[in-house]
Amino acid sequence: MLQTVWIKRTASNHPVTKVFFRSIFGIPPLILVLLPVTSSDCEIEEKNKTIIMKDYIHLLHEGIEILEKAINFANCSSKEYSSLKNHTCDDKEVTFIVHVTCKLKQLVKANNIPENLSHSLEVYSHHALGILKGCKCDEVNGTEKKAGGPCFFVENDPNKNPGEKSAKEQKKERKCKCLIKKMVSDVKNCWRKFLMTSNGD
Amino acid sequence: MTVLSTTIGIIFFLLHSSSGESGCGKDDGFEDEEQDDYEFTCYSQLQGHGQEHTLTCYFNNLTLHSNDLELKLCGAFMSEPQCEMMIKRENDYFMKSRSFSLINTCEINVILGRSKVNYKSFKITKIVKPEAPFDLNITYRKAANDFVLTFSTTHSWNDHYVKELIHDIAYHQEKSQSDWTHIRSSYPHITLLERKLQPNSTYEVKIRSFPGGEYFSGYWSDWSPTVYFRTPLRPKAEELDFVMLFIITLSFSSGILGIVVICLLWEKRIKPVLWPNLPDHKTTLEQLCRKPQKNFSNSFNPECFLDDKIHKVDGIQSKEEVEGFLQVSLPQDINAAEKFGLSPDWPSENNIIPPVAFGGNSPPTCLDGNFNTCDLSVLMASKSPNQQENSKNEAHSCGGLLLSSDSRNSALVFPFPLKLGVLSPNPTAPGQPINADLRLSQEEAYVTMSSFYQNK
Repeated sequence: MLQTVWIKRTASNHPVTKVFFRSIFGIPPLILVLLPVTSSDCEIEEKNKTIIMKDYIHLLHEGIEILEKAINFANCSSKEYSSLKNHTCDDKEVTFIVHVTCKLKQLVKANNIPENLSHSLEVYSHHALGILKGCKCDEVNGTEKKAGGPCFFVENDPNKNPGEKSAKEQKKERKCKCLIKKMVSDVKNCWRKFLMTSNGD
Repeated sequence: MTVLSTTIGIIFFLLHSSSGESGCGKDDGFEDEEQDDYEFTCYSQLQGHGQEHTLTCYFNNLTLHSNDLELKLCGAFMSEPQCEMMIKRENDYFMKSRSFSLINTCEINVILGRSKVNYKSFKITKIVKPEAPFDLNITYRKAANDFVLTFSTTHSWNDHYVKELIHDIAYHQEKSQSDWTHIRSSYPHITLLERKLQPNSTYEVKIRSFPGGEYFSGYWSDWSPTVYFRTPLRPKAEELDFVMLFIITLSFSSGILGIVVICLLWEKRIKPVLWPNLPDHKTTLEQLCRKPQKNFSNSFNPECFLDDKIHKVDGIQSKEEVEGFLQVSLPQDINAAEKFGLSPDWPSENNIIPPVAFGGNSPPTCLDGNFNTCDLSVLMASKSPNQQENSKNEAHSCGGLLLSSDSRNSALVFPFPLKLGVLSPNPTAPGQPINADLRLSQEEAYVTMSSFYQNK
């Protein structure tokens, strides 16, 4: 009797065992869940900044100018967007640029923005991330709706004419364009700051 | 034993298989020869932002186009890594898309059947072939004697990726076998000088472009359509040469002649006009102290002035009479006074002649005793009686001018156009007032000091 009890206590109720199994099977998933859904930090070496400057001048600069002209929207409020909260260009320019670029890349798939705007976003995001070698966006599945904010996927209603848009859809479309305009403006300014800082070094 | 035999068997098996693989070296050499035959060249033509770019490839050996060869393009697009088969045309393989990645390194595989016979990797930005220039226009400028070439290119548009180009302008005479003359330019215009071309000839010109700058590189574009122009006759240039030569020769000889004339006449004519000598009092004094000229009479002999009306001045005691004249005080030296013909009794008052600034113009000099036209200015050095007692006056008479060597109180001012009456040598009438007639005739028979002035 006493032996049986001792065996049971050893196997299931010993505190060391409980801690051991919890540490292996409990905490790592928790860590994974609690990881922020953002792009991984990447560092740009000083020696590569000259190459980045040339790439920006020849591939990105004109594209950003065209992108801004395409979103010439006057009725945008200057409110802060949740996508850009807690992110500024002050501390680390590259981190901010990559973060906003990844957001813009997600918006390429949004279908409530014009096709030429979507293509321009794709061109910019692809070349920007290609220039910043080693900086990648974290692939997050299932959160595209939340990441885009007003730029979400509008499910095509077969009963509805494709040319018609409800007032709500038009409002969402305008908000989406304003969000894109804000992000493009912020990332352009951050690029300039990053490159000017690299020039001064 | 069994273990040993098994081990040996395994070793032999491995050796056999490895030797079998090494036998493929011969096959590798055979494959290399095949790859040389499948060499190909690709070029890209980039457009503006948002437009479709093109990628074109062709085999160096044009006969291979008839074979069942395919070109597979991988990694050239912005979206997920994917491969596309290039479109086979008559003489090349073609791909058109606006989703080309300008950052990625692409790979093209030559596929024959199911095997890959060749491949090539490159970046689209390094195999750029610009579009051919167009709208070539030639204008002759008569005033400048040159031809201005202007042309257009799609790369000058604002949104184009490749903006920097190097243009090659080639021209030669139309029906000649001569080589083309090439000129490089970074701008879409160039000037051809007329003098470097044959007159009255027809020329043909064409242009092509190359990617400039450091970022893009690639190949020369196709030639633009050829344009013809004719050079004018050139007689005007020759006439102009003759006229220019004549003008230059004339100017040169005039310049030399002018220099010679200036050198010859400098001392006598030109310098006195441009740089006249200022009157030097020392020089003039020396002139005056010399012996008078023969034709110049400076005597106070009354017989010289018989033709003139002379008014006797017995003394300068009367104030009224003196008012008509500049007041003169005579030295106490009797010798000097006798020379002047003055009475020794002079008023105690020393009337000092104030220094008068003299003008630069000298009055007409006396000639041959004709003193009617002359004015004689007499300067009387004024001396204080105290000084005269102390100092010894050394009077020099130079042509009627009393000069005192005493420099303390000498008021040597000459010449000055003063008009004073000539004092008559009548010592017997001291104190007699000067006649009023003296005042009236003061303008007559004067000889001014300036007549003795000589500009050296």
